[in-house]
Amino acid sequence: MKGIIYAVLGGVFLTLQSTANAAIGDHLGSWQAAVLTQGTGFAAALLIVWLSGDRSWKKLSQVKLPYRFGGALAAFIIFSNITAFHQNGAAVTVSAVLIAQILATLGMEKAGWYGNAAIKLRTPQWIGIALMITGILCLSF
Amino acid sequence: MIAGILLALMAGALISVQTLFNNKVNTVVHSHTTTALVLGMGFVASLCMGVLFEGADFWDWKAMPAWFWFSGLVGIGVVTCVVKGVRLLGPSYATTIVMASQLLCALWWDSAGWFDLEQVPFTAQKAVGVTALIVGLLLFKSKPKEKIRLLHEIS
Repeated sequence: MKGIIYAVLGGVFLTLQSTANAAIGDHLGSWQAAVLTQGTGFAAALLIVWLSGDRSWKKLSQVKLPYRFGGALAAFIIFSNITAFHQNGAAVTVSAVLIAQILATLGMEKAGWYGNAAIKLRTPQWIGIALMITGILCLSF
Repeated sequence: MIAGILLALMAGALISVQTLFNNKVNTVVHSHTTTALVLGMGFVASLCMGVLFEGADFWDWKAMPAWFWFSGLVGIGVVTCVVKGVRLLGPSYATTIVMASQLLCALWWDSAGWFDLEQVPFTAQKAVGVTALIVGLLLFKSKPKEKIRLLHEIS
């Protein structure tokens, strides 16, 4: 149940973020918006680490090097998003991003990259995914 | 057209890769540190790309409303909630819920015309979309016993 609440809140924050980013991007430019939101977020997150007494950053050296740079992928995601958006507009771009994300996540979990037991995908799961993709398309266009 | 679609598909796949990497970081350090690292990396990378693409023009910032300075707090919410959701539910299930919540919020705020958004009417197509999304999500997470029952209902 706790996980579901986190995931729902994550979606709410994501929508808030894209709404805010669009407004900031209109005013300052897309890259400036990305720098401002992530920069201020970083500063506030550091403050939270300090205030909460979280000392686990000392173990960061145990994290494999590529994983440490995961956050930097945001720049490539933003770049692809902006370029795709200019070419095709919101509907095609948003639905393509979401569908690719859902399928890539499924593929990676199925391949066991997350380390936990690989999920079993039976007929209901595939129908569920197909229905969700239908929903994404209906809502985007 | 095709290039744009390929870029959008790449963006979606990269979001999944980022979710995976963040999850790996979180297995070693706490979620506060994970969030700070992810946002810090994103900040540096975006700064490099901005300067690369726009050169000196990048530094030309207009005066801006005060709330812009607090926009980063939303990013903390995103990273923290998604990382915790993935850890508790597994990546695919968490991603499907995040997406459904995202689409429903967007639909709700668009229909209500909140946050200065242009009001978009709620149509029959949107109703079908919401239904398909939610039924699909429930079906995806259905347990073995329910699976059989739901399959019967469909056939």
